[in-house]
Amino acid sequence: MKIKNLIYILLACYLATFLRLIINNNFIISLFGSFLVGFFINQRLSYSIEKILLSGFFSCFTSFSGFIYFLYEILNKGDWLKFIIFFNLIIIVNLFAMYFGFYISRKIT
Amino acid sequence: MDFGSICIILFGSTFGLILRIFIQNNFKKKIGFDIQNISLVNFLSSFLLGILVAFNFMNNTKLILFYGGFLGSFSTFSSFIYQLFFLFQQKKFLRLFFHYIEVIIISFFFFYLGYFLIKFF
Repeated sequence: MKIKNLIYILLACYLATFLRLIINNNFIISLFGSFLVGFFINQRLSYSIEKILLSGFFSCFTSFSGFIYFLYEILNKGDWLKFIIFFNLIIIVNLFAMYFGFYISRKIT
Repeated sequence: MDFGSICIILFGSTFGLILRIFIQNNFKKKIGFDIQNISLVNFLSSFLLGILVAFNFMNNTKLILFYGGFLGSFSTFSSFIYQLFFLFQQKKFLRLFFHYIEVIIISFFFFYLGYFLIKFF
């Protein structure tokens, strides 16, 4: 990987990290991230732009550890039913957000 | 947010990003149904999260910043959803179902492994 590209990826990561900390809502962040990833994967992007957006920005913007911590908090209360409903719901909603982004991107191009 | 906090977040996210890219590029493994290198990153971040939770990180500002900076940039939810979306596009619904169940179970296994390692030792 070229140094110039790595610097751009790092800058995208910093922006994404601070945006995530400002928004401070994992569900909204993951929905927004999934929608935009779905939108951009259908676009014809150069390799470096794809790396900056997907590996730099969106990977740092969305957080799997935030998702696990959210589920842990539910599990810690002993609410198994809520845990099962939430983890399925979050994944299904995000999957459809990504599909929606992909669909809109396909309609535009 | 003060200058010190910004430095911890920037340092953590730099280290998290570089470590993720390193693992993504160098540990291309397929285990079980479809465990890919990005899942390995998420398992490792779950393990580290378990350690943080055992240290009761919500009461420690530096650990909160480590969680927001390093773990936030190291782990990736969008790539996990993208893996599922890829299977969805290929209409491999059964594989999609098993993949996400598998990732959640293994992530929680690693989370509690990290948690109990700190609690017991």
